[in-house]
Amino acid sequence: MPLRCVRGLSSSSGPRVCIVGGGPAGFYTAQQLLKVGNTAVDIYERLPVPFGLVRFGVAPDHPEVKNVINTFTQTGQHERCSFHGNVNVGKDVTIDELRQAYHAVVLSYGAEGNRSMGIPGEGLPGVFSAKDFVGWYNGLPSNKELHPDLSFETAVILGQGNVALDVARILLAPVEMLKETDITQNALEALAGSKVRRVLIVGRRGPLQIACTIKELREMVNLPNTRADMLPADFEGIAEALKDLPRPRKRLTELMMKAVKEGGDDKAEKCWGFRFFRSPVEVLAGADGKRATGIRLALNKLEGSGESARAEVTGQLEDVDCGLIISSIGYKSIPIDPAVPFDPRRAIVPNEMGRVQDTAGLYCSGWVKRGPTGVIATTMNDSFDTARVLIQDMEAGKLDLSVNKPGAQAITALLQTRGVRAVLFSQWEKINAAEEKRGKSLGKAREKLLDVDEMLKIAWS
Amino acid sequence: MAASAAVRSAVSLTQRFVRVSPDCSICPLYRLNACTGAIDGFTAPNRRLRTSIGVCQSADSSSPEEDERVVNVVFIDRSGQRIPVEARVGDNALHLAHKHGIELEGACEASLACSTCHVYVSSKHYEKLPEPEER
Repeated sequence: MPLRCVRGLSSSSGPRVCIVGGGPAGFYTAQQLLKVGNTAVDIYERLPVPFGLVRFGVAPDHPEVKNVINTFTQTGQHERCSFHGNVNVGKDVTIDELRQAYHAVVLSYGAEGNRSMGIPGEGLPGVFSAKDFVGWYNGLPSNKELHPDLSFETAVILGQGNVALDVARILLAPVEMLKETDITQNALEALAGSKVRRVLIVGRRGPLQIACTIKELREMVNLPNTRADMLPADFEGIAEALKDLPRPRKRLTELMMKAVKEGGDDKAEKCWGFRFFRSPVEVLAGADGKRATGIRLALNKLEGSGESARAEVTGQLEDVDCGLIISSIGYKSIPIDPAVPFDPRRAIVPNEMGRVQDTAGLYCSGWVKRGPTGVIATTMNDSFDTARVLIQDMEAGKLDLSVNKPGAQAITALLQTRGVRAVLFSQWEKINAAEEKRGKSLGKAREKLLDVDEMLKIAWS
Repeated sequence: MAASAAVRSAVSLTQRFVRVSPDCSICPLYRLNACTGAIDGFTAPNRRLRTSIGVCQSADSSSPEEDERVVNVVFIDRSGQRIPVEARVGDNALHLAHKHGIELEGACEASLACSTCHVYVSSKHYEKLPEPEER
């Protein structure tokens, strides 16, 4: 680990770029910008810990996907990169202040909000957003008190993307599969005592519009001690449509058809299934009205075909008894600073190829730029695109690099006057070491710290 | 990113490509002492849930003659520059690229978990590959 003294005095004439958000978009954008000689990149992150959804979103039983952390760590340790955790941009420091201190600012803060179903009863106990449920088992500090009640037999998940399938899989996976992962201990214990035996994954449209990818579907099909419980009626006409499908969609659909046909082990204690052409219209409460005991679904028919097919109401309704309802219909970006243009309808920062509309020197990458869909590879390509555009602008003289910008030196001083202290990358590494050590004693990859104050104490010790 | 739209490979390499055999000695992570052992995940206990088509670490792997057979691979980068390299049957295309300083992202470090690195096989050669199996 190279000595990082006198950083503020070095490379006084190089471009200085600030990145808001320390997740995959932030790190991938930084990685590309650092390739331009003499460019200094500072990453600001609200939490004391970096890596965003790679840490808090990727399922615990997908540890290989988290290998990208090694790439991000190299970036974080780069001599021209500095990470500043525990800094809330928009609250501790404004975008305008950052734009004054840097030649360019890149917004990569992702989508921390949630699309709501907008139906009565959505606020009842027993109803969770997938974002919060995933945050709970992945140790996101703000979800540590979630305490989902897992004592009901049936869980209904609204949405059929990869996040929905992750939730279903974590609910039904044998505890043996999870106990050595980095799932939080309290989630592991809750799942060990779970009475959930049946998970329905509900989508508005049909099998040909399902948003999950084949890997996640395969994992459901291969789950031990579970069988697939699908409705053949949902698959009418699908076999005939197979031959005209593009290959990825065709393979996904074929695997689904196989699951419908074969079902699985009759002796299996647990089951899962897709339910298509259904939209949630109301969460039903029990007689005492105190918590969710079921969900009312409206049956749809499909107009059009392929990816652009639309669900139209038929007027028919169906009630499903369940005690756990998880809405997985999408994350949502929120505006963090009034000085930044924001499109509330699409919930993104309006931009042209990553250049924020009407705002020179301001860029965006990742979900806050394109919307909250896509896997790490998608965000990677997107971040590379934004970095390329920024570098083009640097070379075309669109950013005035002749002016010296103070960068982190000025911001750190400013934050100090506001009583805010950042967590540096080497200090995150202390948190990292502590989590790995705690995990070791539990036979797990790591035991995540759930409390921000605890993280700070270790970081600054 | 069509990593291997630019990889012209001998038929045998194409056919072997689906056999991902991690060769630690050529892996930059191993050489930089930064290996987390993630590649060892090929034999991890929960492998039955992995999507790895054709990850076969069969004991009766290819005969010595086949392993010594050189495959000529030409990487063509974004700028059109051709980089010819020598590979062996069974080599991992991503590690091969990294060994020769070719920039190809592999977020999950060749664990077949993320689709960051991927191959487009020309239809002519695709016909020669066996059908993928769901495993």
